[in-house]
Amino acid sequence: MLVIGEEKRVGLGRRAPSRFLTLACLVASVVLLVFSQYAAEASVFKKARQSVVDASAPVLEFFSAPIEAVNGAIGQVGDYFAVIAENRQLRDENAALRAWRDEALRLREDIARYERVLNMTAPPEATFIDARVVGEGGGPYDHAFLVNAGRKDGVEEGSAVIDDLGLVGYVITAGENASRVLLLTDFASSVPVFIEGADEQAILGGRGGRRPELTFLAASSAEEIVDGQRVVTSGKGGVLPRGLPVGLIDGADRDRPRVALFSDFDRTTTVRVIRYQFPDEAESTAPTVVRPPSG
Amino acid sequence: MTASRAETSGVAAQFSSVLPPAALSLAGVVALALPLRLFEAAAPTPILPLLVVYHWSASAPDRFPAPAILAIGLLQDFLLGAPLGQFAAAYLAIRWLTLTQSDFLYGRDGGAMWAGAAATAAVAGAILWLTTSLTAGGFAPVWPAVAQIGLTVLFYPPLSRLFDRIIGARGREAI
Repeated sequence: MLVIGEEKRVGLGRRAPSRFLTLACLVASVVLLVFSQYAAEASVFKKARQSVVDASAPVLEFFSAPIEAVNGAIGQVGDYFAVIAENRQLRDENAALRAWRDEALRLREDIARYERVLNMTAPPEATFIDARVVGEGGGPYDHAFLVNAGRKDGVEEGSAVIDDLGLVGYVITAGENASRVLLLTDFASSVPVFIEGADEQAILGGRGGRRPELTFLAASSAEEIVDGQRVVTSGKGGVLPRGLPVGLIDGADRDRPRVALFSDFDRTTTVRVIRYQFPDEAESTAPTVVRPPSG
Repeated sequence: MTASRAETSGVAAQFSSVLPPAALSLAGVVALALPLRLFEAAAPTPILPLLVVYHWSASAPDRFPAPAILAIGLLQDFLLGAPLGQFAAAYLAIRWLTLTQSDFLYGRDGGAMWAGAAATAAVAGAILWLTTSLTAGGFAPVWPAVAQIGLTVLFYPPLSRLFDRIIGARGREAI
């Protein structure tokens, strides 16, 4: 097969390298690609992924520290120019938050009173594991973080991961000392959510872009969906805790609206992995299963 | 005894000739896995191994053999969390395509080599898009691959000079 150019370039006695070996390796990689998809949860692939995560984390951590410092310094220079506007915005936010705090304290009292009246058992408290982002999926379709906390710290596969703004994703590979977090924007990500205001359940699926897409569980659910409604995790399936902030409805297509995420993955440097024990009743009524996709 | 020593030195020579492209590719893989976030994450990280595989396949294919490319590709798949075999298949496709065109690419000037890099990179991008779409069960957006592959190809002219110097320092392909 000769395509490029018009004439041959003949090197005197130049050896033509074997194409057979290249083709054999190409076929092997395609076979591996197919096989790894059908046997993603096979222990050999799982262990290999965990080993690579553990082995690469110290190297990436070593190199990512100066990168984070440089990026932080560049960010600080930008912040100086926006400091006055930001200060004004923070004052407004602070005033609004004070009102919310009073409201929250009042509601907490109300809830505690109702729980005493109903003799309710409070659900177990969540605990958090802080971790630093030391690596990320750099390919065009790989939306993932590598964080420096693993099973040794209490991280489990399927655990929810948040930053200071909202849900980031969930753990798909938990090594001994490091873990891989699948971001909400990844094509393989799928998270059960609840739309406040519309009282609708849906599945939030990554589509490779910045705004993931909602798929409704019931055919007629899209009627009351409007832009600006808040999307939180629904807790269905018993994997991610309920009520974690995800984003706002931001899309004209009512059948498959998009969600503008609260988290900005371009700026996320530290995350928190949530350790959460589901109450028994929630587990028994779980209608949806969230499958952590293969990494 | 002498034959064994000669064999050992042959293996050492082969290893040392594979080392530069393998090390460059490895550096490219690590760069891809780091949170570089170039220009405040406005630009994706260039896929350096793609250019290394192309350039060595065109200029000195025996110095970066297919098994080494397979190993680099698989390492990248593991490190980035990509479907296992995805980048390996893309890199090996680049090598195979380049080898089929080696009679025309050999000794060409910068422009023709750049065009070859763009053409093979486009095929690699198509493989990444196709395998992602097939494994995810839906059409993936095209623009992430177009943006990253396009940016990578832009880096080829300056990097090819560096690659040529590395290859030239060790003597060009046996002719």
